[in-house]
Amino acid sequence: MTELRVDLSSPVPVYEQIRSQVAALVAVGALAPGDRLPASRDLARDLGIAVGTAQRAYRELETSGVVTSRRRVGTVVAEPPAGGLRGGAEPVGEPQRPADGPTSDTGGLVDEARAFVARAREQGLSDEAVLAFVRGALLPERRGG
Amino acid sequence: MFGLSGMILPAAVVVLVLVPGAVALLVAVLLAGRPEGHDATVAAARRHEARISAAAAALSIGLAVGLSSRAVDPWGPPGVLLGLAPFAAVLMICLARIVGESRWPRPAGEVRTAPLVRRSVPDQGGWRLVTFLGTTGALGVAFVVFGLTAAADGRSVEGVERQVTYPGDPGTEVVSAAGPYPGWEFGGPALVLLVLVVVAVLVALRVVTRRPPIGLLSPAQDDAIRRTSASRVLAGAQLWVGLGAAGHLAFAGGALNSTGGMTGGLVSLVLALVLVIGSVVIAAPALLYRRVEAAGTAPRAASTGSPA
Repeated sequence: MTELRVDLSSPVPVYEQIRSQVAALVAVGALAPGDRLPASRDLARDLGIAVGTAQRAYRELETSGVVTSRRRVGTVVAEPPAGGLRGGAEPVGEPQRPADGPTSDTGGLVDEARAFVARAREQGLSDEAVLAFVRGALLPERRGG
Repeated sequence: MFGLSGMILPAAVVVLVLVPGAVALLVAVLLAGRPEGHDATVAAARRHEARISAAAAALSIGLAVGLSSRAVDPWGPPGVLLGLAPFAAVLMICLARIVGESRWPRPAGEVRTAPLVRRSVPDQGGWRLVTFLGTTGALGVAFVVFGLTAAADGRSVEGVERQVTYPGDPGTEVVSAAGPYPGWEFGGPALVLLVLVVVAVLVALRVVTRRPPIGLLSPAQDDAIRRTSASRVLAGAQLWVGLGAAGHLAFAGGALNSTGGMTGGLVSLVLALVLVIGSVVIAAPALLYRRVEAAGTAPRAASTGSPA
């Protein structure tokens, strides 16, 4: 059963924590296209946060094409776009992101990412250290862009 | 005319009191003998759930016994309260559950978790909800049929018999009546209460479904306790509605037998027996806690707000 975890003491806003976790779960395939997310009101109640916070997270996810909102059905994970990129505008001020969800040509990357995380944990590295590795690996690419 | 009630009434009271009492006793036995091996938070959550269930069962039994044992009804013909008691007991179960669910700890602490799944009343209710709605629907139809076939007084049924006094006598038609029969006098209030029962059960299930997750429990553990709560609400409702339906059918069957409607009477009595046995069989497994999937048995590392 997939779960979200938010840290109210984190400097990262709660809505961003929700957004990034849902996007990550979609990216690794833990959430598949068509999966229904809980209503923002229910998610807010479960986490004990304001409804507006959950709604903002869902809005951001919808803007980046990770989820879609449908009347009666609610919020569901969107189908990945044919080109491998999530369509729609990125949040203002953020760089263009690659696909948030796995596509046919990124399936191998997900496996490699899992293997990388597994190896890092075997070596006793914390999650933050693993993320620092990834962020560090992304830096040259950003400079080049 | 009401001679049969002399036999059926005590039997109905015995069924109404003893069967739920036996179930409650079984609850106590199972709770006392539940296997250990869970961490303290899971045990505390189970105890809290058990307290809600036990309170709901005790209050419903108390209300049913109180209503059934009244010698004189404050309103309406004698026996109406007895017929309504099982349905009133369901309302009490739902009320106790709604109050009890509000006693779970709210999300607290800096780190909070929530399952990323959409919960719904049909999902939580499962086959028990379908069975319960089917039973109440069938009982509603039965009340309408009884109401339409009852005599003008709404509490007895009439039958026509041809009496022959000597060989060759063409005979005379004799109209006989027997009761109590769940016509509109009995079935009308019961039908109204049955609608309230369905609404109350759905509201109680909605409260269970929307309860925030319990702190320090894994999503699977929380889901198991939530499903246990839902199944116990439905089990209690099924048991009382089944017993109430059986009582009404038994009275109907007895009255029909007395007026010569042997087939209808026999069918009613058999249905009553099936309802009693079936409701007990359906309700009994809800005494057991829902199993937690092995993958979700590990308690969460960071979250607060454990139940008392």
